[in-house]
Parts: sequence; C-alpha cells; structure tokens
Amino acid sequence: MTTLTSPEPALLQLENVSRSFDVGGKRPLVAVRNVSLQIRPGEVVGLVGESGSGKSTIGRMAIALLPPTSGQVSFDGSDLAAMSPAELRRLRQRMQIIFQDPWGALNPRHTIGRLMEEPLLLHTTLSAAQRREEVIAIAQRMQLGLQLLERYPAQLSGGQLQRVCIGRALATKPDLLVLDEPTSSLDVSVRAGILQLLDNLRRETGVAMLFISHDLETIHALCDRVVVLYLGCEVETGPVDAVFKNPAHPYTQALLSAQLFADPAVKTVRQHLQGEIPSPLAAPPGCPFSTRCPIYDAGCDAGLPAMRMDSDGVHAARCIRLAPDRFPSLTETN
Amino acid sequence: MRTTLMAWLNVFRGFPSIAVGLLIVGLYAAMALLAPWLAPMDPIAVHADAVLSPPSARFLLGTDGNGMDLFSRIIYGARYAFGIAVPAVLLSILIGLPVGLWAGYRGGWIDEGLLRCMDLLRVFPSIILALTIVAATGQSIMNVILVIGLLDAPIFARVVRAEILALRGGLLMESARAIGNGTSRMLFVHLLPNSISGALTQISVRMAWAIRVSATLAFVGIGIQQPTPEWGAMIRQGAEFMVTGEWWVALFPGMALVTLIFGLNLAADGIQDWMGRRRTQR
Amino acid sequence: MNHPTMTPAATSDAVNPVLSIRGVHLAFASRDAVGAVRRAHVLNGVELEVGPGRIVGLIGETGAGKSMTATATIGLLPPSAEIKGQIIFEGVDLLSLQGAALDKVRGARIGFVAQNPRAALEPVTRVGDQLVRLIQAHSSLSSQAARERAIAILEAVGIPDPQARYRAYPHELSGGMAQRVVIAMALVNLPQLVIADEPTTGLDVTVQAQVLDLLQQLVRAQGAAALIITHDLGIVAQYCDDMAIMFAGRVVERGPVAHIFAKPQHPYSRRLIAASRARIGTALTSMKSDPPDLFRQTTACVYADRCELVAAVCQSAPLEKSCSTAAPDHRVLCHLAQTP
Repeated sequence: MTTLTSPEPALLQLENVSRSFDVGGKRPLVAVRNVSLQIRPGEVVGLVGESGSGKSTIGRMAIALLPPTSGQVSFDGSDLAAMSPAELRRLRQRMQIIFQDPWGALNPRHTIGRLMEEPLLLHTTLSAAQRREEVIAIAQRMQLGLQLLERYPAQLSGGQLQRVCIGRALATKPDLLVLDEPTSSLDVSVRAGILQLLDNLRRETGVAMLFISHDLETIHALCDRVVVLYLGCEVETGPVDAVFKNPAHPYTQALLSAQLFADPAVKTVRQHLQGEIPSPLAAPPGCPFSTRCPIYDAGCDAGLPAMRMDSDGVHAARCIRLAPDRFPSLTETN
Repeated sequence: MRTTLMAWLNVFRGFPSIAVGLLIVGLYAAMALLAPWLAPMDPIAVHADAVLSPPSARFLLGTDGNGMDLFSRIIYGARYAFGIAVPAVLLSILIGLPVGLWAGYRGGWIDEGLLRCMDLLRVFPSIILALTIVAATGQSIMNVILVIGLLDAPIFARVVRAEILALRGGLLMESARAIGNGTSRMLFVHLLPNSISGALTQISVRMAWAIRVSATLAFVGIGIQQPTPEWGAMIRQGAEFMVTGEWWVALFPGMALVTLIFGLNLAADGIQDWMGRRRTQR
Repeated sequence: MNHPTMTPAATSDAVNPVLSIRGVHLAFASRDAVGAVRRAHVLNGVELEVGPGRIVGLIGETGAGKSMTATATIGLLPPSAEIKGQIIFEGVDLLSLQGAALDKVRGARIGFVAQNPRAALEPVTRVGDQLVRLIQAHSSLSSQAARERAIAILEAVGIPDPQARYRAYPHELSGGMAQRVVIAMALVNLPQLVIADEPTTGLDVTVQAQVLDLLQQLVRAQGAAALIITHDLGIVAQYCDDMAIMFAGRVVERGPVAHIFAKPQHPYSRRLIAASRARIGTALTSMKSDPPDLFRQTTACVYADRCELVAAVCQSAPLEKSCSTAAPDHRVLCHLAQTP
C-alpha cells in the first residue's frame, strides 16, 4: 500500500507479505495474508491484534527472523531476502527486537554486563575498555544501578530485565526497533515506567518503532499510526487518533468497546460479538471477520474485501460496508 | 573471586547433598592422589606370617588371603577406581557431547544413528555387554576403560541432544540471532552452555557406574586380577573367605566401594536438584 | 478466638458478610534467591469481607498474596503451610474444617473459577459428565435430572448447541469455551459465594469482556456474592462493587470501588491507579521495582521503603489493624492516612 502521501522513503517496507506454516495437516496454516506495511524513519507504528492475528509473525518478518512465503520485505530500500547471511548479520545492528519474555530472551549464564556488551562486541571495533564504558553509559540511561551489571538475569525483576533488553537493543543505535508485547508480562506499576522510557528514547534518538500489542491504551499513548490485524489481515490502518476516535471497521469498533478502563465512571457500551476467533486453519473464505461481524451480509463472503481509503488518504479499512462518502477510494494495490 | 566462593557456599547451604557427596568424593580423591604417603605399607607386599589376620594395631583392617595389608590395598584401590572412572567418563564425554550436539542441532542421519545406538544398548544389560566385550578383547585396564567409555557415550549424547532440541527453536536462539550472532557463536556461546546441565549431572552418575562395572568385572574374574589392589578383585577374593569366618577381607573393600558410589550418587542427586532449581530460579 | 457456630443458613441478615477473612497469616517453607530454605510469609494479617450480593475485586501485583488468599479460603493449601486466623463463611470458620465437612462447602456453597480452565477440567472425562458428577455430589438428583440441569447451565453460560457440547472433551473446546464450562461448574450448585482467580488470563480481549459480562450477570441473577482476584484494575473498575488492594500479604486499602477510584488513600493504591491509566508524560516517579522480600517478617509497614510519603513512624511502629477513613466501609492500612 504505497498510498501514504509522504515523499520520504520508507525505512521498513512490507509489500504483500504472506507467511504460511506447514503444520502437518492437509492445509498450511496461513498466519499472515497479504499484508503491506510501511514505517518511515522516526515513526512509531502500532500493530494491534488478538491471538491468531499474525502480529508476532509480522514482527519477526520485519526483522528477518522469518522469511515471508511470498511478498517482499525491504529495509532502507534493500530486499532482505536478497542479502547474503553475512550482509544480513551486519544489517542487524540497524534493526533490533525486544521480546515479551525477558528471561527467555537472555542467556541465563551470562552476566548483565556481558549481555549488554554483546551487540557492541559483534558489531563494533571498540576495545574491551571502551565497550565497558559504553555499557555503563547505557545502564545509566536505562536507570539501572551499576551493581546489576555483575548479576545474572534470574536475579533481576521483570522490569529491570526489560530495561536490560532495551539497553541491549539500543546499543548499536539502530534505526528500527520492533517491540513484541514488551510490557505484557510485567506488573502494572512497572509498565508505566517502561513505556515512559520508550517514549523518552524515541524522542531523544529518533528511532522508528514497530510496537506490537493487544493493549489499545498503550498503543494510543505511544504510537503515531496503528494497524489493526485480524486473522492475518490488516483490517484497518491510519493515524492513531483517527482510528481510535472514529473506528471504521466493525472489528476495531468491537475491540475498542471491549476495553476495560480503570475508571468506574467510564462505562463503554459493549458490542457483543458472537463466537470466538476462528482458528487460522479454518479461516473464512471471504472477509476474515465474517463469522462474528454484527453487520455481516452475504456479500461479505465474496472474497477478501479491498482496502478503502478515506479522502485524506491516511485512514483506510477493509470492509465492503464502509460509508462510501467517508471512504471513497480504493487503494492502488489490491 | 570472593563472590564466587560465597556463591558456592550458598549452594552448599541450600543443597547439603551436594556438599556431603562432594566431600566424600573429595576424600577418596585425596586418598587416591596421596596413596603413597597415606598407605602404611606396600599394597602388594606379602606378609607370609600374617595371612588372613583380623584387624589389629599392625594391620588396621586386617590382611587378606595372600597376607597383604587390607588398609593399604584399599587406599591404593582408590587409584584404580578413579583411574578407571575418570578416563572412562572423559572418553564418554569426548565422544558423546559432539555427537549429541550435532544430533540435536542438525538432525539427519547422525540423529537417527544415535537413536538406534541407544535402542541397541537398551536391549542388552550393559554389564553383560561389558563383560562379553572385555572377555573377548583381552583383560586389561585399558580395555575396561574403553568399553565403559564407549558404552556410556550415547547417554551423554542423549542428554545433550534433549536439551538442545528444547532450546533450538526457542526464544534464546531467536534473540541471539536477532542481535547478530553467527552460527558458531550461537552454537558454542549460547546453545551449548545452556544444554550441558544434564551432562553435568550424568558425570557423577556415570563415574559411579564405571566404578561399579569395573568392580563387577573384577569380581567375576575379568579385567583386573590379583595382586592388583582393585576393590572388586579384593571383594572376589574376600567372598571365598566369608564362609570361613574371615569377614574383613570382603567387608572393608565392599564398604569402600559402596561409600564412594554413594557419595557420587548423592552429589549427582544434589546437582540435579540444584540444576532444577536453577531452571526456575537460578 | 472463639466464634459461636451458627447454623449455616443463607445470610438473611443484610449486615452479615458472606465471607469474613480475619487476621490471616500464612507462611510456608520455600527456597530463597540463593537456594537456602527459609520461611516465606505470604500473608501477613489479611482482613477482608465480602458482603451479601456484592462483587469484590481483590487486586494486587505479583507476590501480593491474592491467589494465596483464595487458595486458603478454598482449603487447598499444601500440608506444610502454617496458617493462623479465621475465614468465616456462613458462620463457620473454614480453616477449622477438614475432610468431608470441607467438601460439603466446596463445590456447593462456594464455587471456584480457576485461572487456567485446562488445568481445572479433567482432560479424560467429557465435560457433561464432569458437571453431572459435581451436581450429584451435592444433591440427590437422579442422573436424568442432573443431566438436564447440566445442559441447562451450559446453555446459561452461552455455549452454543449445549446438547452436543455436553459430550465434548475439554481439549475440544476453545479457551473461552472452556472457561465458560468452568464458570458453569462453579455456579451449577447455586453457591452463596463464587471465587474467581484471574478468570480471564490468556483469553483474548474480546472474549475476556464476554466472559466477565457472563460471570457478573449470572452471579447477580443468583443473588450470590463474588470475589474476583485479578491484577487488572480495568476489571475491578468495570465489574466490581467493592475492592481490596493487596501488597506484600496485607490488604492495604479496601472499600467501595467508586470511593477508592475517586479518592485513593493509600500511596500504593494511588500509584496503581495512576499506572493503570498509561498516560505518557505524566510524571510518574519510578518505583523500586523489586518485589517485597517475603522472607522478612515485620509488623511495620513493608511499603515504607518505596513510599513517597514515608515518615519515621512507618519504619518502626506496627501497623494497626486498620484505620478507617472517609466511610466506615473504606479502610486503609497506613499510619499517615487522613482520619476524619
């Protein structure tokens, strides 16, 4: 979807990317279907979806941990699939990922200091002393006490460990940071601190982010744009305020209505959805949301609806029942 | 340095079985190393005047059917115990670890071959197997070491393989790759060190096993023979004298054997608990 | 403390709470960070009440002791646990009950919705059979009648085609469906009290709302009381009448949801509520994020080392049972709380 009106070249571009997994049955599991996505330098894009939405898979494809089964992933203009393993490895200093589970992602046998030093060891020619200095600087920026550098991951709390992961990811000053549910496994009181840290970093370093989450409030607070995913398809995309204040797609509307605000005075009118998310192995033939959509009609089974764009060219949704005056144009691709 | 010492003391405090086990093993190891200084007499010196004499001031644990001092023989026996167990286990690791690493990481025919080997081993009781092989190839210490080492290698391969399989597609590997590690670093810096906890526990168990096998072999008359002061051989000789009332000839070597194996198994148990603890909590 | 044993009749007296947890201390042996075996003081004087027909949210972060409170109430503590205090339900101290007497209460008078539906359901028995077993354990219904009741409750929890689903095995159900079955099992014997331990963990956002709506609706329809344990303030705000906030094994603040959200009295409550509202840019001082050390037992305030209001009295003086504040049912465990 190359209709976003900006002359700046995209930092990360996914074009018609699909990904299937062979799970041994008759049909492969299609985790991601024809998704197109762009992130410009310095932009924060949120990826929202529930289970089976494919958001984690997209995150991994963006950072070349998984190749797409079709479509193209380009970083700074270069097709990732066309790179040699050595080139790809060198490229990794410019794009990093933060996972949901900090304990699982870090080698339990290495000290925090060694873990934070690793990217510098792999990608720079700094001496050991210089690396050490840099690690100390990073730890201070992450508000981690220096005594933690001698400890092991199991001795730190979730919040501290996630800061370690963030510090590690930023060590090589990457252009893109993918965050896969970075605060979902943390306690509430710790979450806010991490999000504030990420926001500060974004402003200080101008790093672009792909923020994957199912928590709409976080996405709203942190992101510039949002992409809503359902069963591997993008169903709505646009600036975060536009999408959250005026959701066009029925799924986005239902998702927003299912949010539970920590304020008894705010009661959202719940949109009751029938049933549950179908398994990606049994995805409906037409619109993926057809099995639960409150405004479903027979036309929805006729194939994947095209993305319709609003008149400003920024907010788009994939639904045949959108108001044509609000969403007049079809997008160029698909 | 100081903190590692403190860390070890904490481990011992939390898992006394490791402390006690290692203490026992350590004592025996010391015995083996310092045998010439600890043993009051030459272990194969024959005291014709004191054949089969009970424990006394002169012969602390008595003498055996050849008039050799049991106490000295038991001390020297530790050398044979460790002298067989340690090289055998080292051999197992040397063969087993790379095979397990490859089988777990790459799969393919090495993995298949390994699994079939394990199946084969499970069919035969390994002591019988060891017996047969040593009897066929010749009775020397080297053969005993080789046989035990080879028979145990698949076990090390298997435990390493299992752990590698568990980690292979996991978050740790993804994270290591994402940060820019190449294959060799992923394998040796990240994968292997986190896959050897099973192997570590097995070292102690396998050493106990090796000692038991060599003692059994000697007991049935294969492998080490008189007058070598090997505990199994000593028990064999002593068994004959149990009936006639010279209980000490078999009992003391037997106790030495049992205690060392106990110590090794205790340490193994404790290490396994500690490893298990480490997994959840380090 | 002696408590007169009353006949366990339904609480006709509106003032009497359905569940009253008084001064409960719980400790058991556990390994600390270095592996040494020590006593972990998981609950340190929990005071909590569930009024008739009220839904109470028990909220806390990891290690606060909220799940332990539920476990203690249901009587599923390991034998090595040392527990003191009282948990009064329908006039009887649950902690004094054992064996058959406790079984009569569990499953019939108190329903339990577990965190992980797959763990709560028996994998090798059909769902309908599990329900029937539960029904017949606490009533004298015939198999036919029990089966009908089971199908009725499956329908009530919104399971489509309940006749067919009756014969399903738990692994054939999706997460949301399985959790509905667990709710059905908790409610089928018309309990006075339903305890739900993190009932929506692992469920998708849209399913979570459905399940909670269902739980609330059924509980109200039966006139039962409920204790919902969660770490999500959104759930408490939207579904609960009263709430209790736990930290390090103590209830630091409890009262009506509207009151507490409007005017939280305890510094921890304030921090929790502020943090739940994820607004970037509001100056949120970073709190010491280590969980409290449960191996250290103290009668003084455990929150003191991370509290912005801390005063000398906090580190030394033992915390009073509770200091009441604005309303008689709004209690705060803090030396510095405003008293009217």
